[in-house]
Amino acid sequence: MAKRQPKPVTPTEPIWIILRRKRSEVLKKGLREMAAILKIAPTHLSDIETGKRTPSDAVIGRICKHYEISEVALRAGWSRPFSAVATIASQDATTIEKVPALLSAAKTLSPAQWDSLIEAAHRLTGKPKEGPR
Amino acid sequence: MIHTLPPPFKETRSADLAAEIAAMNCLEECRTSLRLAQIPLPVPIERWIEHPLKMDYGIDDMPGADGYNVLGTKVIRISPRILDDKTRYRWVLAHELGHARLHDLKSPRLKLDDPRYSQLYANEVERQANRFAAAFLMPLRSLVHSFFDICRARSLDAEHTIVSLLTRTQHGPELWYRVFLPELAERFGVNRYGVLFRLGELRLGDDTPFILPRHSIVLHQCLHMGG
Repeated sequence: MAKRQPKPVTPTEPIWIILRRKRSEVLKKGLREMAAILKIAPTHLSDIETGKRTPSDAVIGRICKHYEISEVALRAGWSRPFSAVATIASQDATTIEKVPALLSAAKTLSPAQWDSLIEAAHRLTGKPKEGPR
Repeated sequence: MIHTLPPPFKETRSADLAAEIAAMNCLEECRTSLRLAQIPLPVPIERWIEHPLKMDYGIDDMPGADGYNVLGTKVIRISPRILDDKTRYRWVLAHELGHARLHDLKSPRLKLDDPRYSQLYANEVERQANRFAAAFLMPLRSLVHSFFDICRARSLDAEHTIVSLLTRTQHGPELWYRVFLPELAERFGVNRYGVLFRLGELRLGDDTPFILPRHSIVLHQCLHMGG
């Protein structure tokens, strides 16, 4: 019997609503208090929590640490890929041409299928498999 | 649900009574929801406004205003200009919470360009929100207990001191100005004008003011001169 591939968990609410609720109900911090912890202005945090602003990579890192939410979930919530994606996709003419085609072909893959694709890439390049991020 | 003020206080002005009762019920809702034995001081309004009161709170630029509530909704926004003024920030939050709890689109509002808009006593909706703010930040029972606590901490005879404060004595204004206004302000996280507003609005069973209007005027003058 074929085993079902697990589907990636997609939050049903915008990430900023999840963040606001976690801050006030779980972490029990006020807006200004949390802004100070994140080393940003209260206005900045308010804009993030009302969906007006997407945080920078540095702020995403601090949110990840203080809210205990994975960086992957945060980046998925804001549709903000790791900066390595842009770096690799633009490193030379080949990747500029091929990365969009690869991603387009792979966009509906399950997590397990992605793992297989990554393994295949490692075999092709002869590089050892990297551990989880 | 709370329906009346604790004795000896009484309020015959219906809008003020409604604000006072709404604030007491709002505090009680927070206390029971968070399973607290008593209401902490200063009242942690910045946290409570979001949890457990579930207001949609944020910071937003707004010309000419310190904050707003979208009437009929839970949306409260505060101007970034007042974030560094702790007591003003707390008061404005409580004031907007008052609007959210008491008012809707049918409430009798004055438009921003109405010359009476800034006249507190002509603008019932704003006045009621201020009364709510005062009652929320300075709960009645805590306020009364505070007089005794301050007397105890300063080794003052409570009975003699409170009589001096509430009647026309030579030392009354001095006691208010030097001891009770600053200590009450510190304890409740409001400024001294906020304390004066709270005390000046309270009425007793026979509808007399809790503190003499004359005291209130003298204290306002003192504060204006450099308090």
